[in-house]
Amino acid sequence: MNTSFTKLTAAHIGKDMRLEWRSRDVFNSMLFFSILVVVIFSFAFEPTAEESRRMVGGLFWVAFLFSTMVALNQSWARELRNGVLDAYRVSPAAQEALFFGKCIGNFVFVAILECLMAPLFVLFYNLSSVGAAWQLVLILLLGTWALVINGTFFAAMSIRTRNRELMLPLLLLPVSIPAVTGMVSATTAVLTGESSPMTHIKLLAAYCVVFTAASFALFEMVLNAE
Amino acid sequence: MNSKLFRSLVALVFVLLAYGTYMAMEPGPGRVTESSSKVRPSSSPVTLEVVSTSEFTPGETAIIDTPESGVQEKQAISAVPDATHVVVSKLDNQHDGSIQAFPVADKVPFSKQLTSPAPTEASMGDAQRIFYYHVPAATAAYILFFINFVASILFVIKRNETADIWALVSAEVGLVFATVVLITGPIWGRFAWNTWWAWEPRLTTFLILWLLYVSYLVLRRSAEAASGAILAAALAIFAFLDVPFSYVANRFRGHHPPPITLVDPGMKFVFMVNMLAFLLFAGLILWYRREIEGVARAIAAAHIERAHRGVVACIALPAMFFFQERQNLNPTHFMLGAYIAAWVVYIVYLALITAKVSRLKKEAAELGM
Repeated sequence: MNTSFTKLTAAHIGKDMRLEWRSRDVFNSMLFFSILVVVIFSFAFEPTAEESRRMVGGLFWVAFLFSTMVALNQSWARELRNGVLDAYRVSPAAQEALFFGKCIGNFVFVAILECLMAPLFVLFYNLSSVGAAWQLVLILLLGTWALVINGTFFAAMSIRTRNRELMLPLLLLPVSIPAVTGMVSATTAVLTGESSPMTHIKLLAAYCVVFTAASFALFEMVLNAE
Repeated sequence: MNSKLFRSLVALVFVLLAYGTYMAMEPGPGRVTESSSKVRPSSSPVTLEVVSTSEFTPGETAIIDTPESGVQEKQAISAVPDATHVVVSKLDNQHDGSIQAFPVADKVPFSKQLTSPAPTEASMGDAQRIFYYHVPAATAAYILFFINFVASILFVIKRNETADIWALVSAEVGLVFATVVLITGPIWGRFAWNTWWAWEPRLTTFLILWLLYVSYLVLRRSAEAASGAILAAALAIFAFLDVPFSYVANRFRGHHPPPITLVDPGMKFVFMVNMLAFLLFAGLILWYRREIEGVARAIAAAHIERAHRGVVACIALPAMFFFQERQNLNPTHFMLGAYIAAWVVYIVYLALITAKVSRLKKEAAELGM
C-alpha cells in the first residue's frame, strides 16, 4: 500500500463524511429507522428481562442489517449523479481505494449508529449482561465490518442492475446469513452467559478476512462490468 | 449435436430411471429383521432372535447392525435352529438397543441382484425409499453448483462465452435438483423425525445454498446480458465461499439426525442404480439446457426466464396438508408424496425449457435462420 493509495482512500472518506455532515440525509434516516425497529419489536414481543437477553441479540442485528441497507444504497447512488462513477472508471486512480474508502465510511456511520442505539436497547429491554461485556465490543466491530464489507460490495453490484435498490437485499441477505448467525449467537452467548462466544467470534473473524479478500479481488471487475 | 445419438441417449436415461424407480419402490424380499435383545461380545456362538429366517443360510454371512450406536459387524452364520433364531459363530462388539441382522450371501449372482428390488427398511418402512431419489438429487445439485463455481472462475480469468453459458445452465439445473431435495427432504423428515424441518447444519446449509442460487438467477435476470455475466460470476464465487461458513455457523444448532446406513447389499445396489440414473438425468438436462442456451444466444434473442420455481413451490407446498394428520402415518403415502413432488418439479422444468425451444424455433424461423 503506497502513499497515494492511502491518500486516495482518505480523500474518499473525507468527501463522504463532508457530504454526510452537510446533508445528514442518510444518517438521520438510518437512525430513525432503527429507533422504529426497536420500538416496534418491543411492542410486538413485550419481553421480560430474562426473555429479552435471549432475543435482543437477534433484534439488534436485524435492526442494523436493515438500517445498513439504507446507508449502502445511498452511498453508491450518490456517485451515479453527474456520471461521477464513470469518471472514476476512466481515471488512473486505484479503484480499490474507492471501495476501501466507501467501506470505511459506511463502517463509521454504522458504528456511530450502534453506539447511539445500544443505550436505547438497554433502556427498552431492561438489559444487563451476564457474560463479559467487553466481548460485545469485539463482536460489534467484527459484525459491523462483516455487514459493511459485503454490503458495500453488493451495493456496487446492484447499482449496475436494472432495479437497483430492490436488488441489494436479494443479493446481500443470502450471503450474509452465516455472518448474521455468528453475530447473533455470539451476542446471545455473552448476554446470557450460558456458553463461550469465542467460537462464534473466531468464525466472524474468519468470515471478515475471507470476504474482505474476495471483495478486494473482485471489485475492479464488478465496477467495470459492461 | 447428432440428434439420433441424442435421442438414443434420452431413451437410455429414461429406461434407467424407470428401472431404478421400480427397484426403489417395489417392496423387495423382506430381509431386514429386527430384534430388541441386548447381546454382549462373545467368542462362543450367539443365538439371535429374528423375525424370519427364510433368507439366512448356514455357512453364509450375516451383518449385525445396531442403528442407535452405529455398531456394525459381519459374522458367519453357523446354524439356523428354527424359524425365528439364527446362530452366529461369535460377536466382537456389544450391541445395545435394537439389532438388525441382515443375511448376506457371499456371492450374490449379479442376475439375482438385477431383479431383486430394495428390501423394506425395518424402522421407517416405505418412507425410507424417499432416500433413493432424495440423495441422488442432492448429489446432482452439489455437482452442478460446483460446475457453476468452476465455470465462473474460468469466466473471470478467460472471459469466454462458453464458460458463461455453462455457469448459467448449471446454476439453473442445479436449482431444480436442489428444489427437489428441499421438497422431498421435509416429507421424509415429517415421517422420520415427526417434524417438517429441523434447523440442523446440513439442512440449513442446503437452504442457504438454494437461496444463494435463486439470488444468482435473479441477478442474471435483472442485469444487462454482458454486465450480468460478470456480476453473476462474482456472485457465484461469493456463494461458494459462503458454504463452509454457513455449515460452521449452524454447527451448534439442533441435533444431527442419525445418518441412514446402507448395510444391506440389496439396498446398496438399488441406491447405486438410482444414483447413476439421476446423475445421467441431470447431465442430460444440463446438456439439453446448454444446447438451448447456445441457440438462444445465437439468435441473440432477449429472454426473460419465467420465475417458474416459485410456481413449482406453490404447486408442491399444498400437498403437505395431505400429510397433516398425526395418527397412523402411512410410510407408503410419504414415499409416493415425495416421489410425485419430485417429478412434478422435474416435469414442470422440462416443460418450461421445451416451451422455450418452440419459442426459439419460431423466432429463428422469423429471422430466416
